[in-house]
Amino acid sequence: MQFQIVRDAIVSVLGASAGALPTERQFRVIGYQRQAEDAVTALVASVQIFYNTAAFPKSGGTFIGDSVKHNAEFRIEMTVAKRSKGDLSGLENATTEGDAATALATFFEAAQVVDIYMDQLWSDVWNILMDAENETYGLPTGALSSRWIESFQKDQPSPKGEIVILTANARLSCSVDEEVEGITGVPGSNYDVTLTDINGDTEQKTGVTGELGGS
Amino acid sequence: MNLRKRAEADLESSLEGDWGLPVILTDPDGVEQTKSKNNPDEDLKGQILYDHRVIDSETGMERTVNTPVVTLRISSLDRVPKDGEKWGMQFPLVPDPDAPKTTFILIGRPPEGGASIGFIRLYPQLPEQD
Repeated sequence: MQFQIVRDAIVSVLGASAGALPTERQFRVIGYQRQAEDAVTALVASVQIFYNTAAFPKSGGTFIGDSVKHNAEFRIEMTVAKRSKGDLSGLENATTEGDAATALATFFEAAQVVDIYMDQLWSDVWNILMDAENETYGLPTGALSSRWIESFQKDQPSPKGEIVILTANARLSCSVDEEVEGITGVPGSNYDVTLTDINGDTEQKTGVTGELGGS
Repeated sequence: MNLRKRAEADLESSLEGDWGLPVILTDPDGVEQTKSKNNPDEDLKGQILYDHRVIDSETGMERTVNTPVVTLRISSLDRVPKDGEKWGMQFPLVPDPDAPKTTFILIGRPPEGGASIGFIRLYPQLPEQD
């Protein structure tokens, strides 16, 4: 269906745009194969796209036609994992008590670090997906319409030892036109019957059930 | 000597004896402590466990995390860490007293005091460079 093409297009746009961000803001897009990936960056943040819900409004025009309007909603899941950070080299190389105290004051708790990083990640994802250049996510004009990020929700940070993990999700909706292609089923069985009409004349009919044009 | 004083005195062997590993503390004012207050000729030592159990807030199940727990004898400290303070800590990353020391940060999770006996349990974290 068309939504699968749109989903892959969103992954491609996010993945390509993420690679163009400054190194400290780059994130990994699940399903997008980068040419070269920094292992540290890959651990910090990831984004995954799921086809989430759909609505197919019925109308007179589409009821018997082969084109169906499909209001699709995608769930964008963001995950960030960070540890506490600060001026570690300043602390290790401090020569005076004042230098050590200054370096210690620069440290932030992992929960705070991960929250700040998530805010930046969300900002980047939103800006990429809502960029006017990405109105159709690289697909031909008319392939989708009304794309919109409707909501964003951040979850509770989850400490895993010294690493704190924070997840969040956003909902992206758009409309696509689906073509009803039908499916290729099992071939019907052959028939060969003799029919008699009202005048008593007989006619031989042969063919395959489910196919048109039998004789 | 009453039982509590006896138990506190026993910390010298149980925490700082043969099982003890060297620890260097840097308090929020940048003052470093390398020697024991009780025995100024001796390195400050403590018991270091390299993993501990926590309750997973998502599942309610107990699990093990590979982050160290350092238990120190309070009477050996020049200054005792308090909740909300940022401290530096250096100790070996493996249970070998001669191994190189790695820098940790005491931040976030508050210390747990065993004030009735006289030890304090610290949860240092391995930080990353900003």
